[in-house]
Amino acid sequence: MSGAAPLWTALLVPVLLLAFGYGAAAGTAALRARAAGTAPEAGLTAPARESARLLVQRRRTIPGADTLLWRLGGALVPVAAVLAALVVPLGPTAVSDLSVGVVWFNAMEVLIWAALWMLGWGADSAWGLVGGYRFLVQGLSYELPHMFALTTAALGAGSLRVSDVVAAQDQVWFAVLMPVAFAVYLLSALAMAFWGPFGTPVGRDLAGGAAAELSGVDLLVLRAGRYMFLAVVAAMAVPLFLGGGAGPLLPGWAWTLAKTAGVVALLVWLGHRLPAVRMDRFTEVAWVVLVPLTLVQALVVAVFVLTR
Amino acid sequence: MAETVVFAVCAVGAVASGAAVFVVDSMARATFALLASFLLTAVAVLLLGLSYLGVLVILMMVMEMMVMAVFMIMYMMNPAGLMPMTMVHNKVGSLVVSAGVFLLLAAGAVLVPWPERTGEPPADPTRALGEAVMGEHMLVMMLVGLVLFATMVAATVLTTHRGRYDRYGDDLRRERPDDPIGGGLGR
Amino acid sequence: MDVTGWLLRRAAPCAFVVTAIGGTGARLAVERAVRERGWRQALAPAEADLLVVCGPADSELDEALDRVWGQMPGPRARADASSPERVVEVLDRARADLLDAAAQRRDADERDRAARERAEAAGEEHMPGGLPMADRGEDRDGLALDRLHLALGPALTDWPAGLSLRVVLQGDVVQEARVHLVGARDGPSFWDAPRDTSRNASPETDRSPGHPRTTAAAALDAAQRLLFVAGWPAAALAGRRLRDALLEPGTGPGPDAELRRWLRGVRRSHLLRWATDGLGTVGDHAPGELRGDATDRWSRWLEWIEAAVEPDRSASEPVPTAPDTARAALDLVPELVVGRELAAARLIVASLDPDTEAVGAHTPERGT
Repeated sequence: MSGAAPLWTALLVPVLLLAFGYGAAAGTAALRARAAGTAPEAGLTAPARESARLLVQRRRTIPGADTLLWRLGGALVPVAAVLAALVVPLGPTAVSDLSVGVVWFNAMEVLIWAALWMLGWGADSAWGLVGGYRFLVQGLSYELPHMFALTTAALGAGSLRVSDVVAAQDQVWFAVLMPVAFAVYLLSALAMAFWGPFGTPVGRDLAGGAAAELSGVDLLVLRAGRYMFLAVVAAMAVPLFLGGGAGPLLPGWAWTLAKTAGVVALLVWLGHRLPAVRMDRFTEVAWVVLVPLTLVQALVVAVFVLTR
Repeated sequence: MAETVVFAVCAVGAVASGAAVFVVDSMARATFALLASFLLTAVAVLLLGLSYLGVLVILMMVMEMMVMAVFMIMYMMNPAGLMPMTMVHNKVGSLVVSAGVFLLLAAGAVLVPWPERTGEPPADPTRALGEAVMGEHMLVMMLVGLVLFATMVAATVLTTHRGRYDRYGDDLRRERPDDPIGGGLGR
Repeated sequence: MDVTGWLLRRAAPCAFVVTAIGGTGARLAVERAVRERGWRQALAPAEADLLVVCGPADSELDEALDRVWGQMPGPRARADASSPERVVEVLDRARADLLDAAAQRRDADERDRAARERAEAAGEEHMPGGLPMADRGEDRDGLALDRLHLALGPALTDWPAGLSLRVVLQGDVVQEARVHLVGARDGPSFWDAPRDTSRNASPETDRSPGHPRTTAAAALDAAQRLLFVAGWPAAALAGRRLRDALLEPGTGPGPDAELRRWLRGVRRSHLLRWATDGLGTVGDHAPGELRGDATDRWSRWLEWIEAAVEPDRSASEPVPTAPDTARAALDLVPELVVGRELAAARLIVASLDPDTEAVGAHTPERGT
C-alpha cells in the first residue's frame, strides 16, 4: 500500500499546502469577523484581499540591516513547509517514502528555528531581535516533548518509515493508543507554526516581533509560509496518529484530505479560543511536566509493543 | 553520474562555506556559513546511503547552531547593525596551521591504500546502527549518556549563583520560592 | 491592463492608529469604523498603508509621527481624525488617496530620489547604517551585557495615549524605565467629560459620566487593550464591539446577554489568569483600583462591567478614571516594569492602564 509517487507530484505539494493554508487563514478571519460583529462571509475573501494589498505594497530597505539573512529567513519558511511535506502520504503514496521519514519531517521543521532567528536578527530592529530570541526559547520548550511524541509513534510501529507507521494502525489509531503523544503533538504543532496561542514571536505586544519590519511581498511570503507550515503539521498528524488514508467508502486520498481538514479546523478553533501562552511560564511546564509525561507514554507504548 | 555531480557540488560548497566562516565580518553570518557547511556535509552522508545519520546531522546541526547563536550573540542588543568584526585572530599562524592540517588529512585520504570491501552493506543501515549502538555496547553508551547529562546539570548548577537557600529561605520553609522571574508552575 | 489599480481596489486597507492625549473619542470612532468596514489594524508601521492620527495635533507627537510616516512602505495615506464626527469623512478621503495610483507613484519616486540623495551625501560612515552602537552594563546576574535604549510609545498599538516609556533593555529584560508624556494637556478625560445627552435622557439611555454604563464602557476599553496585549484578538475584538454597543446612545439592554457571555468566557480563561498572575503586584499604599496583581486589576474591570448589566448589583468601587488614580498608575509604571521582560512589562502597563487624559499637565516622577 506504500509507494513513492512520480516526481511531478512534488508540484502538487505546494498547491495542496497553499489550499489548506488559505482555508486556515480564511477560517481564522471568519471567526474574527464574527467576533467583531461583521459578516463572517467576508472572512472567506479576507486573505485574498490582504494578499492583493501586500502585492502592491513596496518592499523596504532598512539602514544597517543584514539583508541577506533577512530575506533568506523569510523565504525559508515556505520552503521548509514544502520540504517537510514531501514525506506526508496522500492516501497510500507520498512524494518520497523515505526509510527515515519521521526524522526527515522533524529535521525540516527545525529549519524554522533558523528562519525566524534570521528574520528577527536581519531586520536591525529591537522588536525583531526579541521576537527571534523568543522563538528560540519556544523551540527549546516544545522540541523535546515533540520529539518524544514522534518517537512514540515510530516506536508503536517499530519503524521510522511513515508508511509503516500508517500500516501499524490498521487495528487501532495511535491517537487512541497513545493519547498523550497525540495531544503533545497538536500542542507542538501550534508552537512550531508560531501560531495562535504560541504566536508571541510575531506577537502584538512586540509590534509584530520577528515580522515587525516586513512589508509587501516579504510579509506575504512569511504569512503564507506560516499557514503552509500549520497545514503541513496538521497533515502529518494524519499518518502519525489518525490512521492515514484508512476509512470506509471513500478512497484513501479523500480520507487523508478530510482528516487533514479536520485537524486544521481543530487548530484554528483552538487559536480562536485561547489567549497567548507566555514562554517564560510555558518553558517550565514543558520541561517539568510534558517531558516526563511523554517519556512515560513512550515507556507504556514500548511495553505494549513488546508484550503484544 | 548524478551522484558524482551532487557530491562534487556539496563537497566544494562545504569547503567554500567553511572558508566563508572566517571571511565574513559578522558573527551571525559566520554561524550560518558554518551551518551551511554542515548541511552540505550531511548531503554527502546521505549519498553514502546512511539516511538516518544524514538526516540526523541536519536536525542536530540546525538546533545546535541556533543554540550556539544564542550563546555567541546573546544579549548583544545590536541587531544586524553589529560593527563589522573580523572572525580570525593571529591570521598568519592560523592559516599555516589550518593549511597544514588540511594537506595532511587530504594526503592521508589520497595516499593510504584503502582495503577492498569484503562484506555486503547491511540491508537496513539504520537498524544495523541501532544494533551496534544498543547491542553489545549498550552499557558503554548508557554510561556515556549519563556522564554527559550529569556534566550538563553540574555545569548549570555551578554557574547559577542562586541556590535553594536563596529561593526557599535559610530554613527552606518558604512555600513559594523567591525568584526574580517565576516559572509557570509556582514551585 | 492596470494590475496595480485592480489589486489596489480589492485590497482592504490596514491602518496604523496613533492616539494623542485628548483623542480617545476619535480613537473609539476610528476603531469602530475600521471594525465595521472589515479593515485591519496594523501592528507596526511597516505593514500599514494608512496612518490614522486620533486627537489634537502636538509638536512632539508630530516628530514621532514623521518617523512612523517614513517607515510606511507605500502606497500610503494619512488621516487626521481630530474629532469623532469627522472620522468617517477623513477615512473615506484617505481611502481615495490610497486608490490614486498616479499620486502614489509620484510619492514613491520622490522618496526614492530623496533616499539616493541622502545616501550620496552621507558618504563614508563610521557606524553600520549610521546607527549608534549599544553600550554595556551589568545585568542582574552580574554579567556585562549590551544595553539598548528603546522608547515604547507613543506610536504603539494597544498602548495608553501619549505615553512614552523610555526603557533600557538587556536582552528583553527591562533594566531601567522612565515615564514621559507626549502632548500632556489640561482637560477632562474622555470618560469624565460631560456628553450631549439631551436627545435621549431616559435612565435607560443615559451615557453621562459616572453612569454604570459609561463606567462599564471605560472598563471594556481597558479590557480590550489588555486582551490584545495578552494575545487574544478574538476576545478583544468582541470586547470592542460590546464597548461600542454600550456607548451607542439610544440602545436599550441590547448587548446585555452577549456581554454576560463575553464576561463568562474571559473570566473562565485559565490561560489568561496564568499569563497575568503575579505580574505588577501593588501593595496597599496605592489607590484601591490598582491594588493586587494584574489579574486582580482586570477582574475588577469585569466586575464594573457586570454592574452595568446586573442593575441589582451596585458598583461599590469609585469611578475608575479619577485623576489621582491615573497619576498613581503612571507613577507606579517604572518600578513595576524594571526587572521584567517585555511581554510582562506590556501586560503590566496594560493592566494599570493609566488614563493619560485624566492626569492633566502632570509631570510624572522620574523613574529608576
